[in-house]
Amino acid sequence: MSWSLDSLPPELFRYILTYLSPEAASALAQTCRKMNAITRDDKIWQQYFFQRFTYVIQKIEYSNEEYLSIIAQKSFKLPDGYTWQDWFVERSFQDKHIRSLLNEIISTRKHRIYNANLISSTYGLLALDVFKDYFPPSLHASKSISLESRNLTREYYSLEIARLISRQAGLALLNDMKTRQNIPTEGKALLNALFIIQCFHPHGILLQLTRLHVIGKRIVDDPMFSTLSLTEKCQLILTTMKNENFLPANGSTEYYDISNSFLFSTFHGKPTIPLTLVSIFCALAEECDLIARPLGLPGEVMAQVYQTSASNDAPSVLIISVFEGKIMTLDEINDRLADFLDEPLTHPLPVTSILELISRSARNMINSITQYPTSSLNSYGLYAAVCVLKRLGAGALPFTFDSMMHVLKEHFQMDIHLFDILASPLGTNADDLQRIQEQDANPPVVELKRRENSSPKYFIGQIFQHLQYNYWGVICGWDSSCMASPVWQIRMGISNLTRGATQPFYHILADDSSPRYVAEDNIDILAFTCIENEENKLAIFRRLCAVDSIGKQFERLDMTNAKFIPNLELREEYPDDFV
Amino acid sequence: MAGNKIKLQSNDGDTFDVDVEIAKQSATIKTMLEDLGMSEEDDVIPLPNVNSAILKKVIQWATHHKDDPPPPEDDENREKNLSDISSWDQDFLKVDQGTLFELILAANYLDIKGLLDVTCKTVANMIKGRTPEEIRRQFNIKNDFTPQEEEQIKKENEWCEEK
Repeated sequence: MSWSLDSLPPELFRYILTYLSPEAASALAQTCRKMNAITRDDKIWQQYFFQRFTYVIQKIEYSNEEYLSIIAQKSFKLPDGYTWQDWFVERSFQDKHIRSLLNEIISTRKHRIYNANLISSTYGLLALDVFKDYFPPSLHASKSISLESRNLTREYYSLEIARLISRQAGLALLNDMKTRQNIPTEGKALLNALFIIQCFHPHGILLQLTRLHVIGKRIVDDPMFSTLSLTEKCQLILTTMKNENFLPANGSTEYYDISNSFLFSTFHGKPTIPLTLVSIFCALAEECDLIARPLGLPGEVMAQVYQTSASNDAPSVLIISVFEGKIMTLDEINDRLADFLDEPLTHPLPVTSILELISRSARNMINSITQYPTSSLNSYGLYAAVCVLKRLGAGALPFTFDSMMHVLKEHFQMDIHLFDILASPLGTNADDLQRIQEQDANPPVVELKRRENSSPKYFIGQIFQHLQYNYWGVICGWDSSCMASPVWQIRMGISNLTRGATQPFYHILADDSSPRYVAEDNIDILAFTCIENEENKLAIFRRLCAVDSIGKQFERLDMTNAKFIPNLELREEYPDDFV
Repeated sequence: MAGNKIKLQSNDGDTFDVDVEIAKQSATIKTMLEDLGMSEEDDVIPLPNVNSAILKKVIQWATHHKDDPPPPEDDENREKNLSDISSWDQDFLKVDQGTLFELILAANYLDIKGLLDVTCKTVANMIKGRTPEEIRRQFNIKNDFTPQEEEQIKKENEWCEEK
């Protein structure tokens, strides 16, 4: 008996198809009629679809019933008149378009902002399915890739555009929220409000909240649970939160750490503020079929849990300081807040509305920024806070809005279209925005930095250690003498250097992600090659590759020569540095 | 029970003595032994769908893999990794296509997930990354499309691109 591929029974053949990529299945489909028929099995295409695509809709609409983070990924419904194969093919063509726009963004400065916005407005969340494959490895645990094979520039722009899409989603959700009249202040809705703020975080919308489902389910699935009293149930939720590392911020350093205002940190084991803890508590309470609502007090937010059955005379509501992990009586609260309240609180307690809560969170963030003006997340936090306050109309903040315009020009140029929505048409910054747009359409010619007689000693991409401060950095630009302002020069004590301001100065990226300007005298280029332990070298490489904006200037790492390879743009600007 | 043997009989009449524990990698045989209460010592288990050459290979595979942990559940939402075939399995599967397909059928009939997995992966690897023409050559497939059909099908598959 002679055997051939098509003599396998169909169910086995389907099994083999599950091992193929859709591309391989498509090649097989083109071999002969029989294969063509076999590979049309739509069950297989459904599987291919979900292997490749996570997002199924362009934008999320606000919901109270479900965590926003999974709404965009949940619908398993096929569009009318489509097969899974049709839908797969359509998405593949869209992916192709997105990839070609991404390549254009990477390779030319012209229309970079325009193209990024084209992707986000045309495809929205769907584009994340393309970008997720290009994200830095730290963002997808399953993928391991060697440092040298990473395309840093592609990582950078993929992440930047994903962030743009995520912020766009955040803004749209804020609009949704504003127009909705009756958002219940309980359960998932609270967490969803904080998720809107999370959309402005560098990891944005990629954060998953489903862990709360799992935790909640574990609590209620315990047969003991239904036998507990309300107080015991609440205590169980509090203990569970502690065990799951949802912890209170300790002292003002943690309290005012802006990163702790984002769910991302909270879901990665970092301590957080009362408001976030209360929201998680309320969401978990909802998972456990309890009704818990926030109680905004001066200086703290607590939770109030309602007794669902009014059959006994026990107090109908429990007040819980989630931050302190304990149940409080009304008297205790009134005692504590005696100086802040005009008159003591009485039952029924007021319920803090969601809009008030999210605005409160935004104001917290602005406080944090004022307390620690150098945090690297401040620009993201300010963006979130300004959008929330501006959009929900919770008090105009002219000064923050002006600093926001500044931050926008520095960090979020891709967002000008989003920002158009926020800014008032008569705003003083309309000209600035227009200039950014014009430069995007016609990028100014870059002045070439040629190496002539008085050339700097070091080259773009070299890794060095700072002689005085010992941090590691990468050279990403140079001037043949100090070009910084006289004020800066005095502040940095440049005249104390042997060669003062008349030596080459370097623009560098430090391993703490900050851009700096360093005198040649302070650069130790040999330090790296002197490291004997290969592990230590690798650790420095890893730290530098993790710098958020490294890909804006460098394409990849060359480990053998201990330097970064500049990307197209930087090579154009410094033609003699890279031969 | 340890070290007990059973007899497996191929469809062309050969009988093989196999350790029970090895034979139980086949869920089909395991069920027969447990549910149908077949006594292990004297009875012969007939396997009407497997010939002696293939059964010999299957036993060889099962013997080598007798201490493997149970294979993990499939995750439908993840593309399968085709490159994790052990070198022993790679050598074991250096066989002609006919034998390979018969092994797939046997693995399916005997319900040996590990063997089914590795054989299907091997076939998938023979398809992966190849053009339609190369696949035809690989498996000796005859192109029976009319030129119009071929044009049409090519069009339908234009979504593919090098990634």
